[in-house]
Amino acid sequence: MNKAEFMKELERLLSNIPETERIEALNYYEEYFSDAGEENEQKVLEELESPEKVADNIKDGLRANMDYRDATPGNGQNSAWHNGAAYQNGTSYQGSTIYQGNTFYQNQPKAKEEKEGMPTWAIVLIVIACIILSPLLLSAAGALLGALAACFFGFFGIVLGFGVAGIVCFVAGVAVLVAGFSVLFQLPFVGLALLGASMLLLAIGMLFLMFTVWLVGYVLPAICRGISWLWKKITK
Amino acid sequence: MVFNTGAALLDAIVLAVVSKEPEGTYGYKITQDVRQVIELSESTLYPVLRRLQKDECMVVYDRECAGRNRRYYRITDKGMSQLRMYVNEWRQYSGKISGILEGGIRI
Repeated sequence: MNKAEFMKELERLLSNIPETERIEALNYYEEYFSDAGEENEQKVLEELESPEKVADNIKDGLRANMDYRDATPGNGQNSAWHNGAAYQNGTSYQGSTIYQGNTFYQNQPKAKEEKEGMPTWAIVLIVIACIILSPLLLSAAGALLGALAACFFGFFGIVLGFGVAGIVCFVAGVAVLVAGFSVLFQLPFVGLALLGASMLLLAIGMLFLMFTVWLVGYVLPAICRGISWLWKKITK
Repeated sequence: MVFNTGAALLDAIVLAVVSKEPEGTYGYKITQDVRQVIELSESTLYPVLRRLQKDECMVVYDRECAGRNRRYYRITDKGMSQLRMYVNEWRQYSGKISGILEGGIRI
């Protein structure tokens, strides 16, 4: 993740807080990155951990501030400051009394309606879509599974084919070599031809076996890595 | 660090850091300064600054710097009295804790 992606994600996660707060927070982190310098971008990203964490902290802060103000009407000086309880306890955030009691939120009636997560109608729509599309989804999933199995067995077949062919060539080569030696003195030309053929067979057999070993030892791990990389890309 | 820093102590540290700069100081620098003394995730500080600002312990102003705006935080009179309160509280608190921890060893 780079800075631009981080900021975009943060903006999205802050979509349910009042606009002034959102702009304020985004400006702060934009400035923070600039002050850290481009060369420290990756370090800052690491230390901020994730846009989710930053957004949660911002929202916790808003919540705590409201609780604190609610707990000490007309007295901003001392009492609630150092007992800490007022702003460590964020449970009453969901209660609408705090929203309504706070002038800051009253200026933004939209903020009251917005809850974290998706609106109900969106969830209902998604459920309906899932039900209607379920045969399609199932068959798609089946096809995908089938394709995966085909890939797996195809690869397995190739490995098996080359392996068996290599072994057969090797065995045949040895057999022809023995046959060649046995007739070498009665029929020298036939014997030499047989010896030559056996060398060829042995060479091909070795080549196939080497190829099989390469497939299992190198290509298979590479494919596994590729799949896991793809999976990470998709799920991220 | 085995002791955690509560919200009030964090406020006190931030106010102290900001009060050191009569001209005011900015978010990145405050974070770096605070991180000199306590372990702190970088995302913890923004809500604190925002709250102190809303409670009028600090004021913000923008100053142009290297072709862009930078937001500066400066402590207010209210912030100063808040800080004095924290310093007094801390003196008592840390004195008592030191007394019981280190005093115990001396006996």
